[in-house]
Amino acid sequence: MQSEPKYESLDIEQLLLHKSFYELADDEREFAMQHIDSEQEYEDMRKTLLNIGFSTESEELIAPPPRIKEELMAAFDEESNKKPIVIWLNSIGAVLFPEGKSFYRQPGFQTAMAAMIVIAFLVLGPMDDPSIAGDDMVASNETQQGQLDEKTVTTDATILEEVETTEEETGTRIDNNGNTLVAEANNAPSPAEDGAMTAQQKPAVPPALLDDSEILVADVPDADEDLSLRELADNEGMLFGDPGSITNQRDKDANAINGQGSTGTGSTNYEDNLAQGFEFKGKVTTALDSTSFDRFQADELYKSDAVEDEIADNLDNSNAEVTFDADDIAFAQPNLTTEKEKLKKEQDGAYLGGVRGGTNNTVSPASTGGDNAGADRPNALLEIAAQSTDNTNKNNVQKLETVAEVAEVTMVEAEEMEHVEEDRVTTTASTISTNRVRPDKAAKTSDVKNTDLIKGRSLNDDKALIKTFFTAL
Amino acid sequence: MRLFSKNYKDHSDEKLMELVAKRDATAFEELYERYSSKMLNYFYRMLWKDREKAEDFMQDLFTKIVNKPEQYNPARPFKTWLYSVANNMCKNEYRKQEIRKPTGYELNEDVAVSDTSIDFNRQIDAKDFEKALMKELDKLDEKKRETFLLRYKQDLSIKEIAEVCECSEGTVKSRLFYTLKTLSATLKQFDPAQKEI
Repeated sequence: MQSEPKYESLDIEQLLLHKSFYELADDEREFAMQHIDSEQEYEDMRKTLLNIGFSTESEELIAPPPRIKEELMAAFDEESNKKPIVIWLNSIGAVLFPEGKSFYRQPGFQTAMAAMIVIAFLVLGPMDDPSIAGDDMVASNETQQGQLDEKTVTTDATILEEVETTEEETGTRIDNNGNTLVAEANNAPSPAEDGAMTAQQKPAVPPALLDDSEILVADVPDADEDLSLRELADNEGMLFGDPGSITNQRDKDANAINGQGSTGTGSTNYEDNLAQGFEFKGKVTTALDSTSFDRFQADELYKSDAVEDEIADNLDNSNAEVTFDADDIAFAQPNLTTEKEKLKKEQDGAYLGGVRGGTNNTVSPASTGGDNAGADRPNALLEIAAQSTDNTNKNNVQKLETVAEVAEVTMVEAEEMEHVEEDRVTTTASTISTNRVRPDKAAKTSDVKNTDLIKGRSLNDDKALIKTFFTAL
Repeated sequence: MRLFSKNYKDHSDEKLMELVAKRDATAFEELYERYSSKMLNYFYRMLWKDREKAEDFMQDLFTKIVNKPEQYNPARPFKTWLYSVANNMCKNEYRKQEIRKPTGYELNEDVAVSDTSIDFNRQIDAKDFEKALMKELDKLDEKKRETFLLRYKQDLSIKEIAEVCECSEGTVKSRLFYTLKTLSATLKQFDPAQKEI
């Protein structure tokens, strides 16, 4: 069986172009006859193929016009010169500002807005830096100071009201006549007097040094001039005046009575002053606690003349009948534990001291040195006890007991306040130091509840001592 | 500064096309000189010998090279790629026309019939054969016609035609053989070569 090769060994086209049928070799003729039916067909195909070649050679070829070449070269040069720039601009412009979109949806607009925000943040951002925005900090402090001033005025009025209320409740206010420390209903101060006193007592609170971490008492104006009740209360003895300088209680010299401490010219009412001072101190402290007062302001109140002026006024209005009160209060001082020992010595007859001097109801100190004041008190009490046979002694004893109770409460409060005050000083100073940048927290941290802390020591011992003493008398 | 100008005559078509892609105007000009006439005549034959249309098509073809030279695949010979583009353009034109444009090359039937009785060697010249050939080519399908023109008018090799037409060489030879066999049946009366001889 013979295969049918197509254009394998010899292309029939080449045979048609170069050889006629009779010129073909046997193998070529055999190959041609596989595709062509007859010799005539081979000759016709050969003639047609030759005619095609002849016509192609003789065919006139058309030439492209020079116009096409010029246009193409111009297009090529234009494309070469413009294409890079046009593509770049088109790409950027098409991306940033696409057509058919609102302006706020175009990436170019959005990018510009974002850049403006970033620039604004960078420009305005440093204004928030405390180290740079010093003026803003100062302005803030001034505003805070103004608010504190307003608060101080309000607090002062609140304190005075608190004091009045406390006086009415405790009955310890000295009336205008100054006869007794026990309050009487008809001796309550009139509103007018309160108003006058309020105006007098209003302390000039200096602006809070909120930006100063070291708040010292020495920073307070006139701190050295006014040896206040607070400083005296800070002492362990808690005595306003020189205990040894007990003189005639009728000495109306206010400067001597109000216990200017180192002057040593106190009167027999220094215990009254002490009691009133601690009492007032307790009231002020309570008021301060209730209003979350700042320690700085508390110092000012303690150091203010208003406090001492009130005490001085009260002492000025006192009379001779409070003689016993002074001794009893001094005797009832809870902190004077040594009094008990002294009393014990007195009972044993081992202690003698004190010279009664002055007129009736007047007790003179045994020594003007003031250091032995505590030793003179038992003697004074003995002398007073000797006079208890008088009919008036009964009333005096009753008053003495009443005053002693008041004094007990006052002294306990004063003592407790001493501890509380120490805590307050430490807490407030540390808090203000910590919150020096944010002064608004300083007032909050000083909100110490004295009512929770004041858990006075038991007065039963003192009461029992007083009762025992008077029973013995 | 260049002392001697580039001799683009020695560059191959592919090298020139590479330079054209780099925006070398001289390379483009060289390519144009090599193929502009061939492509114009190809379009001229493929598009019913409409010269204006052939010129437009030829200009469009080179405009594509100017605008999008990156479309050229360097792996292929430039000649076959160029003819492929031209061939596709013609196909698109055929589809667009749907009804092919009358060539106007119809032979006078009366003359043709009457001529059958006379000596062809003396009555019909090469132009008549050409007209009759184009008429018969129009009757063929596109593939056989383009293969025939590429082979006998554009002088492409069997291999190149196979690349342009994207077919095998055997297919090209088969198409050529049967096209020639069909034409010989109708054009056997023409013998311009014998007359010339």
